Amino acid sequence: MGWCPFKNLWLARKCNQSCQCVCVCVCVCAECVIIYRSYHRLLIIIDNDLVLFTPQALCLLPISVCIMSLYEEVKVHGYAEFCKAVSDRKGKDIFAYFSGDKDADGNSWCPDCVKAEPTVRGEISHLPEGSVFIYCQVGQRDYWKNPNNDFKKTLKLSGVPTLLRYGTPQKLVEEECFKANLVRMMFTED
Amino acid sequence: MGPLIQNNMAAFFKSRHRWKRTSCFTILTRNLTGKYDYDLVVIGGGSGGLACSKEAAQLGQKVAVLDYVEPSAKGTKWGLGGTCVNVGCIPKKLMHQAALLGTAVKDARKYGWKIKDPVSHDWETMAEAVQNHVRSLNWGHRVQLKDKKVKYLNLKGSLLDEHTVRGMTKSGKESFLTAKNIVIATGGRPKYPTDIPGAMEHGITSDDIFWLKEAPGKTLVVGASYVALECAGFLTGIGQDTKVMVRSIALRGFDQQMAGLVTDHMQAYGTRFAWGCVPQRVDKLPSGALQVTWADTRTGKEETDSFDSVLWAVGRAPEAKALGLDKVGVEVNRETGKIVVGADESTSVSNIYAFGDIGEGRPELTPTAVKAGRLLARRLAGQSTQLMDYDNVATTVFTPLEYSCVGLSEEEAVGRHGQDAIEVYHAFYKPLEFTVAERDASQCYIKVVCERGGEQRILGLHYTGPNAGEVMQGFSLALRCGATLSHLKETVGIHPTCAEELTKVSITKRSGLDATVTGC
Repeated sequence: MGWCPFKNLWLARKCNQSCQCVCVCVCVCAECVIIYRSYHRLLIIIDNDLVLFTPQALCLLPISVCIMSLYEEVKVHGYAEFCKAVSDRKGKDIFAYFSGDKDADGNSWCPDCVKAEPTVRGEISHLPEGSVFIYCQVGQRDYWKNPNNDFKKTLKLSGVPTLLRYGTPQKLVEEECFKANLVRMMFTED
Repeated sequence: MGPLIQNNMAAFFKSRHRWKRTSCFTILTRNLTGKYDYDLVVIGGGSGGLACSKEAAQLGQKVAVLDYVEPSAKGTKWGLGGTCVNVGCIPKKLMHQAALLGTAVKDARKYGWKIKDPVSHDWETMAEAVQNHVRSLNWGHRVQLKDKKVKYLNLKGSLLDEHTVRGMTKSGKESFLTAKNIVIATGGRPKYPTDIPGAMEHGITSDDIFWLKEAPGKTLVVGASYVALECAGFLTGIGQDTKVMVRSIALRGFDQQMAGLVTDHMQAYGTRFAWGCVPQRVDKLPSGALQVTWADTRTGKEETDSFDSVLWAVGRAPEAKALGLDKVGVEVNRETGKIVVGADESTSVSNIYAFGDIGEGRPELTPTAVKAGRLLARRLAGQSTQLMDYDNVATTVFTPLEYSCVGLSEEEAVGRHGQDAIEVYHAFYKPLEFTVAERDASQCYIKVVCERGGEQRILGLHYTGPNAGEVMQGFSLALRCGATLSHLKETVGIHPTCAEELTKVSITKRSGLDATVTGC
């Protein structure tokens, strides 16, 4: 707990520095719990939907909120880096998103990955507390097309994009990643 | 600004911290269909319930499905998908395959493969692989329900009144859903014997066998249903010392000649049978082993032996007791406990339907539940009037020597038409693959039961042999099309296969001639 002069609010919990998005704060009215986004807008979760409020309006609304979770995002490139990221985090709930490599301008060779990423990112706030989100670029198109690449052979990936929960059969492949409700289900339900 | 909030906000609190909660806004439940929360609520997320709910949702209905697994007496529980996916067809067939591969490995040596002795089986490897596959199916169903916009609730459902379903969590918290139509597809669970001391404390059922962490070891399987024989079959196949205890007959309800061939084969391949025996008590020994005492009705003597595991396969009971059926007036068959249903799966309450294993007189099979569920959904959505046809449903028993059949057993045909009005063609054949492997094919047999007069319409087909299910599927289509004996005889077989023997039958039982197939 501490006063954050930058945010002008009491902080209930500190941000995880590698996490992009949240710190949990208590509003000055002491009745509301606020999830504070890194892009400096104040948000409240009501009934699992994001609703925007100004700080002043917040004080007028004593409401119940859902607390967004803190998670760790790890960016890796290639199979070896992926395996290291996983083995360094034994015992954690690991979600992994596999995408084709992005070029210098940030565009991936995989059109489905381009399409799915905003949807997956959009649901990322629903990741469970303490979980890990590994964003893994698998490689160039030629590497991916080779049926013997490590991702296909060892991890049994069949396509990109793939979103999976490591060590479980939970997996969303290709078009399934376009559907926000499926992504949210994977992040929120057991 | 008045946001709508559900009443059970506590469900959304994931944090360890206890935030102060105020509920100052009025709760408005959205009734999109006007009068009820849902057009359709399905109680039971098994083969039938899932098929019905997905079909209904695709037809535009607002659907919710409640699935809840009461843990077995041993504490085993599983995910969405029902008996078939979790503790039935799927794990059974995979373990049956594991056992068949064991036999194949031994045969392989005769075919030139250099395989070192002894070949052993690791239960943990098989169990983990099977359980992982089952879990991927649980997940697949979750994805499908979400994708098709079916609301899935992991709650124990029961009826409050004709239009209200109560859902209860493990801890006893209640919630209520109202529905225009309610479908009950809760299926069944294995029975424990009630009069045998120690049965429940020390024994397991099919609910547990597929989820065991360790091999069951020396096992006593009590019962002679297909569940008992299939389990005993794969346990023997993977190397467990297995004994089957049969009170009277095996595979009751199936063609008894075929049942005899199945059990003869199992006995020849190492499963021990205790015919005419009834268990009396099960005690746990200090070593941890189970001591079973039984009465041999043939000798009148009492016998005893110790086992590592006792598997009860003495029948299945419908999951109907906790549904609140009598309160709402849904008629139940007093003897079986199953729900009395009409040809359209309706119950005695006009907007409540029931199908699958829970329906009285219905086959306890996944494909019939799936099809009936889909047709019911279409009828409820007003898209169809087609009823489920439960006749001529093919089925297979996945014992070490597989047995498949469609249509009537010989006894049923005789009972319905009279001995003189039917003709039975049969043949003992030898699968080609058995020759090099030097395997005994004495129980590989085919039987065609047909009318004796007129076109000689086929009434029933029976087959024991490898890949029995694959062999019979196409022939079940033939029966549906009203196949006659001449149709069968005019069909050219595929060579060399076992299935072709069905097209070559020519010896009748009536002739008394030797029915063993000779060469090409």
